[in-house]
Amino acid sequence: MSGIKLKIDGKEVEAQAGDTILDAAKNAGIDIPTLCAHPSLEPYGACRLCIVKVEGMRGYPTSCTTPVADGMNVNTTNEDIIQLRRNILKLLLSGHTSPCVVCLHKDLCEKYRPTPTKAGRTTRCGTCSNREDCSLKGYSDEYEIKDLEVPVIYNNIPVERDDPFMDRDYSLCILCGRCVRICKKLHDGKGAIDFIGRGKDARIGTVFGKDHTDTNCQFCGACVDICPTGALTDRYAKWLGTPDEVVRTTCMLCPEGCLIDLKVKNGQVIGAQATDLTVDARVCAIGRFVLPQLFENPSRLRKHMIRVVDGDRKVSYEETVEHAAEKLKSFSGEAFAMIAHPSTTREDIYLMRKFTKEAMKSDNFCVVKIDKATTLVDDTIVNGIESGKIKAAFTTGDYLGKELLDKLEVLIVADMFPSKATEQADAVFAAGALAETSGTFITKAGEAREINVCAKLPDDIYPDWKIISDVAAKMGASGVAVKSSEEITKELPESQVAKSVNEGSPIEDLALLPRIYRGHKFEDIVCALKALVIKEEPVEEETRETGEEKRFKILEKQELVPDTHMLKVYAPAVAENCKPGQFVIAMVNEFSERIPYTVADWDKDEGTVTINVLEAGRSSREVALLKEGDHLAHFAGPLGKEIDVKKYGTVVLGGGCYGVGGIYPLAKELKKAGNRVICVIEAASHYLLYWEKKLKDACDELVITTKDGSRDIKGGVQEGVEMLVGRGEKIDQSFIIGCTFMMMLVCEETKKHSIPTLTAMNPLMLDGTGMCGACRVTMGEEVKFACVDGPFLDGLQIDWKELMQRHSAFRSEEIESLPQEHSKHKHLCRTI
Amino acid sequence: MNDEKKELTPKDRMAIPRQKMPEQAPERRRSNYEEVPHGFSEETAILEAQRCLKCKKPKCVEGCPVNIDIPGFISLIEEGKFAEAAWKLKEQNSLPAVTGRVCPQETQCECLCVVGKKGGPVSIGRLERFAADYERVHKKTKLPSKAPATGKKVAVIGSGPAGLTVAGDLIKLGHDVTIFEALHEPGGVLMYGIPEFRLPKEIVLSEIDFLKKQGVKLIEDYVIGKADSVDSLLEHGFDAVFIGTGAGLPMFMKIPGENLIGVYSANEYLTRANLMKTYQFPKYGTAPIRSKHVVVVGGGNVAMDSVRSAVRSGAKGTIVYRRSREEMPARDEEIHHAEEEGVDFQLLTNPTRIIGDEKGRVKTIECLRMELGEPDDSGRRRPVPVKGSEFLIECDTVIPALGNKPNPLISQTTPDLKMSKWGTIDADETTMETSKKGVFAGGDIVSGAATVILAMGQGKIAANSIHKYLMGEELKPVQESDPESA
Repeated sequence: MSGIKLKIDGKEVEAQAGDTILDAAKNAGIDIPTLCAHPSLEPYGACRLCIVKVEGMRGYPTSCTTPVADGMNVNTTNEDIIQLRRNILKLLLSGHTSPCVVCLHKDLCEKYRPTPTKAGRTTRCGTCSNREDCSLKGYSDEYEIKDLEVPVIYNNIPVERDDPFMDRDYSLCILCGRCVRICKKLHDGKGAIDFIGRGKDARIGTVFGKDHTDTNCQFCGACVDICPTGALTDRYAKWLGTPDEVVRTTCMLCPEGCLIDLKVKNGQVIGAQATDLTVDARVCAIGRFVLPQLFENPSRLRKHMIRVVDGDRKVSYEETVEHAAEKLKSFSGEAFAMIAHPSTTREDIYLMRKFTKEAMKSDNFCVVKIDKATTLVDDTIVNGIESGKIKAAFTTGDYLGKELLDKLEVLIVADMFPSKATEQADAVFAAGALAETSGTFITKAGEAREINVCAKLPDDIYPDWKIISDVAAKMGASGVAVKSSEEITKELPESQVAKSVNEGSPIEDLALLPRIYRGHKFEDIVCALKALVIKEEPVEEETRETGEEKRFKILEKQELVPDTHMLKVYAPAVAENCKPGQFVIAMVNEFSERIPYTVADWDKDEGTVTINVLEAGRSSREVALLKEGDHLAHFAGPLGKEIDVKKYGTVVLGGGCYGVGGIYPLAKELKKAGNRVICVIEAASHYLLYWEKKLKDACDELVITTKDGSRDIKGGVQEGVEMLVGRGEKIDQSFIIGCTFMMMLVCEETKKHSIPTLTAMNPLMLDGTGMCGACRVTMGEEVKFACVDGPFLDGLQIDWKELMQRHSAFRSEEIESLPQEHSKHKHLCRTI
Repeated sequence: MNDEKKELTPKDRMAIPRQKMPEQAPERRRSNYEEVPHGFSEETAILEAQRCLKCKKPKCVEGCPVNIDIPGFISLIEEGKFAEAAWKLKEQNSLPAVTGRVCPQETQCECLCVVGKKGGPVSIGRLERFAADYERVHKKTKLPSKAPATGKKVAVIGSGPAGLTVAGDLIKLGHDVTIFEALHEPGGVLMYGIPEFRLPKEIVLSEIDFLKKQGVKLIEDYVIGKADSVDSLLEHGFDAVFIGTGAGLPMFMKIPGENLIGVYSANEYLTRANLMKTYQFPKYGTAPIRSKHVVVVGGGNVAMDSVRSAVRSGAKGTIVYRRSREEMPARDEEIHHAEEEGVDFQLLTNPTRIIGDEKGRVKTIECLRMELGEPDDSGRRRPVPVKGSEFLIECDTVIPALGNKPNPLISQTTPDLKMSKWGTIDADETTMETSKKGVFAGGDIVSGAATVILAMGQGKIAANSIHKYLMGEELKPVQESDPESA
């Protein structure tokens, strides 16, 4: 093929016929921004971000769809193009949730809030799990977008989180079509999703809006991996951050032995993806979504145990090795059997066989066979145990029924998860396996693929081969002991091609998904899978009726703006005694945390208390999922000290987020007390503003600020205060309610003007009644307990940095406690 | 049981050795939350009961803050009437299964036992526990007879040991009793403070259930002092109020680094684990405190509870205490158990500062060695720092277990209640009457941080006084030696 010669940005470039300008530029190391284009997809030309100027051509063609021609002269970066791209980005951002992109406080915010808030719906970058990876945010920074200058639209499409593994927030979708196209490409033209609707109603969805479980979606995850924004996310991985490295290994969970890339952060597996977005590289739902959830699973065995006279005892690895060796000693020969699982490296299986033969002098070794969700042990071994010939067994999982287990005199188990076998075993090794070990695996096609260590094992926990080797060494069978898995590889005989066990591939058929690992059904470990493999019908959760009482019943519930839920709760005792500035502690059910919420309103006559809850984690998610008529399990208050309602003169009330509701009762009471009350509220964008009229009616003046400038003053409460001071307003007192970061910024402003500022502290709390001291904050030289000394404390003296740091105390536990089940099938997962 | 009775002479009785209570092995129990001692079997209980000489003037009863008829219930055990023994206990003590476990018998009833002068004293606490457990496990609970309704209403604030005792006594006397509890579960320190391995929560809940069956009303999530005041209770139909709100506000050391992530009050540490059940995280949503090395500062029972909980969570546990082992306020049994479970004791040691990493998390604690000097006000020898003896202990969690200041919620909202300078409620020791008419108080809110049984003892006195007050009788000091006089 002859090379085509063209010029891009003055540089001589050679390309092949059929290449696009984008291809040619990329090969020449010239960067052109793209959103809808992707190396794995055909040119599409939807986003128009890759426009260039071609000499002699009219307008600005998209480089991703324009083929190269000999002698072309292309400019990718002239002033006009930059300006056009800025406009394109602004238009895209206008329909995406992007107030953070143009926020004045972006840099400070990212410094003090290094991780995004775990919101239900993403309303801005600060609540977006994809903040680090977002192409749109990246280009917006690169092209220095400071103002949108176009109307900001929030599409307000409910988050789809009823399907397993994926959250879909199409309010962030920019309609680049990558997901639709990759789905079609990977699944033989029969994608599960497509464009629905036209014009401004266009969006991505399934046929008739069905659940993905009811379409031909194979849950391969390609759509999530290719999405350039945070619209499509992996529910498990989304808040775990960006990986430090991506390690390629082989998934051993079924005979396919697919190559897979595991994302690793701090030595822990946080996610998986296919090695490429091609048909050949596809992986199944188990590899993509279940495999990465096995390693840090809450049900995982983390301690070795030995059985002593009065029960189990957790002990060190060395003690377990010793105990296992001691127990096995007297069962050499045919009295011993070893049972392994096929999802094991060739090296480990070889060593186990060798252990059986050389250390135990027995021929009773078998690798179990898997038939759907059933594990089949060799008949000879089953018969041997039944007849009492086999008296001792070493297994790597839960393979034997209760009756067989009872017949054994000695049982040693090395496994990742607890089972009835580990309960009965004389010694249990918490084992490392899969991506925690190394070796090779023979695929169904007969290829030997490498298994690489991706995850770091905790101290004192070791992979299977090391366990076998150490027990052998302790028993004096030094010929079996090895120092590394590689040592075994060298010893391996020529591999024989394994015969295919099942027809077809799980990649194309959910019915063929691997179901079981070491005797544990995947759906029992990763409950989100239940909806896919069991297909149980959702059951309406029982609503708790407290009989004669309607205590803590939710009489009204509304999502005021995305993620902010207003609940009117029947709690007459709280309503009767509530005063402005106080808070309540609520628990949705008996498993919930005790979470404080600022009271936004109350009605003594009705006996109701209103709270506005920001969905930002597990507990507030539980609140968000409640319906009118449901009951909160617990609701205690009013707690904390009320504000001093008296005449100050001119009072500024600053509110952000839930604080917009929080300042409402203050406004009412302070106005009644004869003050001139100015409310300054902030929201990231106009679509997050609520209770405007309510506040306006309650105060003398309402000042609205938005971070993206989509309404009134651009900025936050501090810019509002700045404006008031600037116009000559003398402010005698201010009360601020909002997140810690917001209150810190406001205090910087009020300090400048020496405005007395009381801020509603919101540290972590447990009991909220002055018992635990979790809520302590440093105010000047003193340490205050926010729950009994506050919540309002002198904001000008608060150590804000310490407070923000203390907020991060349980960050990883907060992520871990997020529900992984899809809400419809919640009942299937309660037992975990 | 055998019908034929052979009379045992005192000599026979003295010859029976003190029965041992089987315990979980330390290696095993350090990794579970089950109780350490297993309790007597029926046989050992009878043998132990036979050791009691049934003194005419029993010394042991004098040592009991709630005046249990100790020889009486022990005789019933000896006769094999186990449930009856429990009923006997409940005449004076609403929570025998609790006190049988957490009372410091060695400094109360048992230290006065005559048998104890030779060999060990009769194991009164273990027998109490045995009888109460027998009654519960065999579902032999019997509702005590109740006096006719008096029509008087009593509000009990707080459902800890003091409040439960007051409620239990007053309901039997025919009063209408309502307990108000601020937290979402009743039991107070029995639920949030004392760990499962020392007092199974099931037992506390069953004792509370027993009170409810007798007609005690219990309202959780109700914060008196906030959702209602003492005054408004009195205005709204309650004839008397008992305040048993317990300790609050944990004390800190006031040394640098106390607000680092990884420093938790013992209250928080224990509440997370016990009340919020973090050992079942993530099924329960409250975040657990995961540590590799926990340093607990203090030498009381709460310090022992904290460090032993830490060991059970898989961490290394260290106690830092500024005096020597002899001065430790914790029960000897608790210290002993902690030692057995591998807790490291740094005695005559005082922390000087806590040092954190760049993320604000605890990295090390700096301590100073102490030596004992002259006795202080408490009669204990005052620890004096040894100059230049600073050293570091690497750790990720520090738990100050230094006691609590009283909970301020009631005092803040009850202006005419007289308080001491320490913030405790001033109450007459003999009647538990406060400065406010019709208002009584007891437990840690009066005595500062003390024990469960002391709170129950005060509850008992208060119940007696409240009854007299309601019936229009004179509030004379209770006759300690004659509990039947009421």
